[in-house]
Amino acid sequence: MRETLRLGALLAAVCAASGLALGFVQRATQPRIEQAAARELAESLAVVLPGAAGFSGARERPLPGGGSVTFYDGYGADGRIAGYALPAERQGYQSPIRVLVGIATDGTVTGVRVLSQAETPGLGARIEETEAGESLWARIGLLFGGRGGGDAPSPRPWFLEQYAGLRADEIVLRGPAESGKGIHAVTGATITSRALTDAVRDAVGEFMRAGVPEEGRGG
Amino acid sequence: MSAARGGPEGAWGQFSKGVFRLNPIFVIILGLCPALAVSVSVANAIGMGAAATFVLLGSTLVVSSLMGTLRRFFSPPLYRQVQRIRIPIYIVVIASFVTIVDLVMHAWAPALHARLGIFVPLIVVNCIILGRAEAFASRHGVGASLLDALGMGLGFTLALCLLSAVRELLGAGRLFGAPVFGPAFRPALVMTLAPGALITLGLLMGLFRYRRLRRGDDGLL
Repeated sequence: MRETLRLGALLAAVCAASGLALGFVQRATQPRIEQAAARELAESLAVVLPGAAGFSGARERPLPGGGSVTFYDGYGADGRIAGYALPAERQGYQSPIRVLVGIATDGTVTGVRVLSQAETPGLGARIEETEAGESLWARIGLLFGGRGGGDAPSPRPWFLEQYAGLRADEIVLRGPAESGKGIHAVTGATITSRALTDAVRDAVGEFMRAGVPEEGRGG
Repeated sequence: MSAARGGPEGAWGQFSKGVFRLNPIFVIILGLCPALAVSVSVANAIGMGAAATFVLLGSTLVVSSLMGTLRRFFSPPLYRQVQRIRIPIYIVVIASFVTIVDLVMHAWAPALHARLGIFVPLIVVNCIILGRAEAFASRHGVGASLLDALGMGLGFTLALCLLSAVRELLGAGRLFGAPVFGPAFRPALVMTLAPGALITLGLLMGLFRYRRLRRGDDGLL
């Protein structure tokens, strides 16, 4: 009995010390984590709605099929709504793929950006592949700073570029070698390509079926 | 299990044994789960290696000083009692350092944090760290334990880099995510998948084993 209490007290002391240390670290890192998330969102919004000069905060609206969707208004330089950005998510080959989709007021996609994915490198992960020409060091800088090492604008992933200018009913997956309008799959990564394509098409389709949202406040 | 038998006992020996002679991946064969999963690109390997090394150093420092203090101030029977809860203590210490790494990485290297995903929290169950805490840090002084941890962390990182360099080069034709070969190169996709990881690991393990046999250094520990 005494032994149990003694060992319990020792273990409790170790846990208390570790809890205290974790509390300090959490308080020190929390603001930076939130900042990084906000910066990442601002960056993503600017990528998917290149025409917008400013964005609203997160808004929410019901969907006709039930449920609701969170979205952001994008404002042009003249203060009028230039488009909307909304997140979409779908299970890929081995990880959930989260994307942000930009839509112009006429329902065409203005841009797509992958927020997070952990698909197979060399296969599914190529949805974020950019054309050759990036330097090794810019790449490493990107990993740590969230910004490229060079001054050049970061190149756009070729797979995601395909979505720009399409309407929901034009977003269909085609084989890598097929011709015609639509999204050409990444070779060897049909499941990933289809998941992403379905996610974008459904998000855009549902959003536009609900009609253009009424103007909110923001800037 | 005496980790230092048959090797030089000096500071250099404590440090260097983890890199080659007792390399955690290729020789002791610990921590294979993260090694197989994360070694698809060199950038991931370096991030994972650095995170694991930090956890190894932190937990080693705490475990060796805590156990040393308890050994000094508790009577031998009392210390034997304490020994019965040593593993829970190690786990709490290791889990705390892993959480610290996770938070710090999330704050200062968000892209890397997103890439490594679940494998950062899983450092908690990386056998190398618990193994060194039990086999070395709890029985040696702080200085020797830190050297041991640094060597093991470096050995783990180098092993991951070697593994991932082969896989990224052959499987994707890239290094650090940047293309290495011309457009004519056709990558062997199997190298980026699980079989490629096991094949590469097996060949590298064989290489280390061959080197040990050649030098007549056959005992594991």
